[in-house]
Formats: sequence, C-alpha cells, structure tokens
Amino acid sequence: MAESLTIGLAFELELTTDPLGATLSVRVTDAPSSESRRQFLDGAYDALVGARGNLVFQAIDQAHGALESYGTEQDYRVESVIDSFDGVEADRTEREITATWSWSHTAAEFYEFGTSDHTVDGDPLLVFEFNAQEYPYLDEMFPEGTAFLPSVDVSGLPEGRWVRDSLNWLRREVGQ
Amino acid sequence: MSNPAVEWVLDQVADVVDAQPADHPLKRINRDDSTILEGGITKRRDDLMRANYVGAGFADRTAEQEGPEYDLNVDVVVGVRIEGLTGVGGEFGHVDPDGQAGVTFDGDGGLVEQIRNAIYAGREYPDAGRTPVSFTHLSITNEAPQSHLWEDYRRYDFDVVFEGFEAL
Repeated sequence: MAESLTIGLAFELELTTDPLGATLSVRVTDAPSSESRRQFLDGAYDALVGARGNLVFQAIDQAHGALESYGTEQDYRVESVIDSFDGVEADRTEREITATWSWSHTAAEFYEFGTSDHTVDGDPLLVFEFNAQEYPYLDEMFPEGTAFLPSVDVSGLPEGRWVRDSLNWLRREVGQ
Repeated sequence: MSNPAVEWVLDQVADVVDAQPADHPLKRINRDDSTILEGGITKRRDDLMRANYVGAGFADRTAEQEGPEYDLNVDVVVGVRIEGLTGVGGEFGHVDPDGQAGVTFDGDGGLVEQIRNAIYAGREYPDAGRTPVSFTHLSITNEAPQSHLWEDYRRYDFDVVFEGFEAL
C-alpha cells in the first residue's frame, strides 16, 4: 500500500483583546516524514511571515488602510494607533509556526468595536482648558479659561472593524 | 430588506431567549434595522436595566470565482454583539458572575456560551442565503471579550462566517 502523502494541519487565527491584535498558529499534526514536514513548514513560514509581501504583512497593511479610511470619514486622528503597532513576533519550532501582533494604544479597541455615547465622571472634578470662542457657555461660567466640571458627555464612536475584517480576509486567503 | 444571514442568526438564538429566567430577560436586536444598541448611554443604560441584549448585523460579503466552474465562492460575515449591565452592588442590570443578581455572562454555561452553542447547532448547511446562495457551513471567529474596558458594562462580540457558493 502506498504511503499517504497528505499532511495534516491545524490552522488557528484568533483575535486578541487587551491589547487588540491577533495570534496565529500553524501546526503539522500528521506528515509522511519529518523531511516533508520540515519542507512544508519552510514554505508556510515564508508565505505567512517570512517572505517580502507575506500574508500577515498584507493583513496588517489592510488593517492600517481601513483604520486610515475610518479616521478620514470620522475626522479622528488615528496615526498614534498605527504608531502603537508592536510588530510581528514570529516563532518556528519543529512542528509549529506561531505569530502574534498587536496595537498597544488604548484607542485601538474603541475604534475597532465602537462605543456608545457615554458620560465621563470626574474624581471629583474634571479640569479642562477651553477656547472661549468655541465654548461661549463655558466662558460665561469660567471666565479664567479653565473649566471645572463634575462630568462630561462624550459622543460615541462608530464600530470600525479594521482588525476583524483583516483577520477574516487572512482566514480566507489561508483557507484557499 | 434585512440580510437573510442576520435574520438566521437571530432566529437561531430564539430558544436562548425563551430559556432565560423571567427576572433577567434577553432581547434580540437586528442592528441593521434598529438603533437601540447604538443609542445614547442614558437610554442604553435604561435598556440594559430592562434586559440583556444580543444584536446581529451584516458585516461583510465576499464573492470570488474560483477555477473553471461557473459558481462563486461566497462568504458572508455577521457581527454578533452581546451586552449586559451588572446587577451586582446596587446596580440594576441583569448580569452577575455568581448567577444571583443576574445571569452569568461569559463564564461557564453563561449567556455568551448559550448563544454561541445555539448558532453552532445550525452549523451544517445553514439555510441563511438568498435563493441562489447555498451555505455549506459556518464558523465563529474573532471572539472578542471587552468587559475589561468598562466598569459595570459587559460586552462580548464574535463574527459568524457563513461559507458557501452562489449558482450563476
């Protein structure tokens, strides 16, 4: 009977929160020989994280592109979130490739998932410097230019989905 | 018209709604048709004092031709969001890790798990497409617990990815 030439694989790509990012693993569960396993993992490592223009790089590039469009649409500054990207950490063992990447800026999650309108409470007070022309009602109350408020209402952020969409894209690419 | 995959997810969760204790109900929201989950916090807080919420909304659709066949490979992504407010410590929400002042949220056997299981129960050939689209299976991806971001608000999102083909 001919030896089976199929390679058994387990591919996992998970979203992480706190910080927002992803973990990826490709594990060879079954291979006809250790040589074929090694060859397969070499190729997979290059395609996923090793080679120029690899798939993980493309997914991150897409995420940043989507976040920039979101920032333009909503008029938010998103550069600091993009700058908080911590790079890709990739590891390779005899049977497995793992890679993780994330964005450490706290706003990353709020842009990804959105927030409702909410109230920020002071402890006991919030202190703001404000522009008198822009906020005439505050100017009336605080002619010195510094406002002391017990709480402020903050309008919510829409859901950006910039990381989740990039991961769904990556799953489709790897699945093909 | 609302997306059939969104409707399918909400239908699939109906049994979970029925299984909730009378004191801690669960309400379903079609996020493409309703603003309840997107409203202001004052109103949202009021909503979450009445019930826990599960919302579903259309997120993405991809159609690609593959190989010489005349069918398209189709992927549809539905975003699911589960929300609650704590019922512990004098709050009037319906979530409690101990299951006393509310239902368990993302713990063992909690609301998130019940909703996930209800969706997985229909994972083979989910009847969630328009007429020319047939889905062969679904998977749940991008599980995102977010309760760490808030003090008394609980939120957990995941994506339901439907995979199938469209006959051209």
